[in-house]
Amino acid sequence: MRRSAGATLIELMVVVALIGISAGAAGMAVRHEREAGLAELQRELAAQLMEYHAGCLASGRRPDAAALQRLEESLPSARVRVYRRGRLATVTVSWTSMNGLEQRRSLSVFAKGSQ
Amino acid sequence: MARRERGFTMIEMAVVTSILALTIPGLYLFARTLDDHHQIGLWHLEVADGVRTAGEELRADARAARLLPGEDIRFQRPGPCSPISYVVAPGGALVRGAPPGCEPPRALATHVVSARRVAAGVELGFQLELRPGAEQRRTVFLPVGE
Repeated sequence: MRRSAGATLIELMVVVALIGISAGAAGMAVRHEREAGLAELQRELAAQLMEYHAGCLASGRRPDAAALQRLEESLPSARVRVYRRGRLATVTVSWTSMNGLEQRRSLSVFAKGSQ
Repeated sequence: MARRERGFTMIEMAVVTSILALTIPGLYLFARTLDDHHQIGLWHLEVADGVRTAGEELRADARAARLLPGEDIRFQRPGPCSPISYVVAPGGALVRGAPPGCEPPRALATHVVSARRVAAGVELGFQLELRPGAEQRRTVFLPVGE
């Protein structure tokens, strides 16, 4: 039986499909890496905001309006809530991550005076 | 039966060359995009690390020393090892330094292009140059002291 030289259409399709799947997986992995980096930066910016509020509560001083505005501009989706029970104050910062999920961090301090 | 010449015809060569001409730029752009995403991901991690380290050092210095007036980031503290200054060194490192003979200078953050005083804190500018004309920038505010 005569066997013509070259690849069949099926073989070509398999090779193209394998290349496509590999490229897609590589693309997804790298995109995930980028989003993970940005998520880490967002967590850090949220921590800065949270620690600033907590520091103000612990030292009994009022948060500076200019500082607060700049901190909130760094992470526009951030919302800060302060719960107080006696001297214990809990600062909770929540923000929306790139994948649309709500993230949250909290820090409790002993507050000085009343705000 | 006619004899089949060995080798490729002009049409076959033209088809292969056209396909390569179409796919190679696409693959190059795809690989470059992957590399850009990888670099940006790492850069974000380094910025986050730098923000954490610089923020902690600045707050610690603000508690123990007084931020001197002016545009530079300098802290005055009691004793000979003063002032402590924060400067952007060539290469993009934010360096905390004391006078000679005191504690050695320390790099706190990388990819920094600017560090300036603003109301109630310090603003750090971070930049990643992927290639000429393609840059990523981020400005981060760090509250310092009162």
